[in-house]
Amino acid sequence: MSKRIVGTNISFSYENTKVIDDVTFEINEGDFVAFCGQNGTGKSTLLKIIAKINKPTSGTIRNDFKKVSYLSQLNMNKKNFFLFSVEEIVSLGIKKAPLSFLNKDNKAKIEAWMKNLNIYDLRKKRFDEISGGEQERTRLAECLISEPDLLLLDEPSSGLDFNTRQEIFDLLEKLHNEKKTTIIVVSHDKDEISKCSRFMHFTNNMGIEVNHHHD
Amino acid sequence: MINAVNILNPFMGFSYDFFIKAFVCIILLSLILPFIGIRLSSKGFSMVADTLSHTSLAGIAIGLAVGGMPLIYSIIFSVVCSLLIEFFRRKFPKLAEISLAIILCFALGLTGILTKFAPGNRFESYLFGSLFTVNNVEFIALIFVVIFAIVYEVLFYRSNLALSFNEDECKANGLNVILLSSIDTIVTSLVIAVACNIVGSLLITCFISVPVALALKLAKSNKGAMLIASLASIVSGIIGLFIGYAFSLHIGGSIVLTSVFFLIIAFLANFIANKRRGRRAAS
Repeated sequence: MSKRIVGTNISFSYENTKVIDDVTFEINEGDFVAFCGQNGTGKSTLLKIIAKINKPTSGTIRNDFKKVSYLSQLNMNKKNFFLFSVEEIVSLGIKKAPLSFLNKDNKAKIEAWMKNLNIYDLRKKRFDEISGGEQERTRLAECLISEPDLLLLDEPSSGLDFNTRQEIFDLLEKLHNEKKTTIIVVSHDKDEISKCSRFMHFTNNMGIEVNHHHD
Repeated sequence: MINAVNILNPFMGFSYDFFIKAFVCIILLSLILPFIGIRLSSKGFSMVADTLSHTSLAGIAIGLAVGGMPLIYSIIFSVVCSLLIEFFRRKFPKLAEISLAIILCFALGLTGILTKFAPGNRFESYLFGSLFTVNNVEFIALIFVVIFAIVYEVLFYRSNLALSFNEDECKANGLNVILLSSIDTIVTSLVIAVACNIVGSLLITCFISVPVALALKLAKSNKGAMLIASLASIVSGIIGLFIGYAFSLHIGGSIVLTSVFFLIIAFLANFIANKRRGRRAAS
């Protein structure tokens, strides 16, 4: 049976503000879903619930996927990216038990992915010394190195120029077509959304309409 | 009083037990404290170390007031406070920073009241440290705790690195963030509590922040930052020890001033080098 994500009557509130109200949805293996809609309509929150970072206040979520990669919104205000080199960040993507070290295979993999995403020459640079597009590619490499079957991306293209955004979405499309990776992406951009196979539109009154593209 | 023999041959110190003990203490602390400092600052919580060193101080004050062993009381009090900090950070993320300040104030206030009950003026030695009067129990405790902490740092290096980079991503990867983070906090508070009994809270604050500032400026990676910070504190610790011994100065103070002096020199050197590089690039 194919893997699925099924959310039933999910609600979520931050302290006293209700962000998601009674949402039911289903995402199937191989879907390329865009979460779109205005700010503050609960897109990121639902993504975090799917990633098991937040627990829904009520309702249930079932997630069959085992190898999940989650890319949070890039928030440079937090400044905790200071002390990391590009190589170190990519190496964090290798998921192993807490008490373990990187072996030769892991290192080869890190190198291959850095070359793949065109950041190999930057590997010794500090994360805060590279451009926004390079930062995003670095974090994508971190996400993709574990070859996830479910990829959750929270606005991977925010603050980037048109070409870089195009590049990132072309990469995601390739991943979806070739490896059949299930991808959920939060996005505002119409062009980007058109590349997805489905989209879920979040609205202010906390309703979510699910649409299919005709392709 | 300046001792002429000390100035002419500071290595004379090695013929004394107390000097060797102080030397070993400095090396051990220079190995572990900058590590903790770097991680706390990449987590965005550099205040934690300062807070914990003051809670250890409060623990010591409790120990002295009730006539028990300060070491034990400071460890217990520090670990409890560190878990409290961790709890606040999880439960009320918006209030995390302020909760640190509250615990710090509480600890200082408690210390202030309890120092009245401490016999003699022993308390001052815990504030500024007294490296030349380390007793054997404290010395052995420090060796054990530092070795334990180094083993922990090595084994948990990758997960701690991931945690300080992005906690949400760790949660999505199925890591037990709360458990790992609590273990980390406990180890940190253990090291700081034991160190506080020996070198005082002043030197802890120094070792955790000054080399870290240097590393933040110069390092290109997290590993590099840890190496630079450790090296910087070993060098300034040893030089500070020798200067302090030769001129009969307070050792803790001498080490702190030495490391601050080196920090300023390094900043200036870095500044000049950057300028030169800029000029060369322009021409």
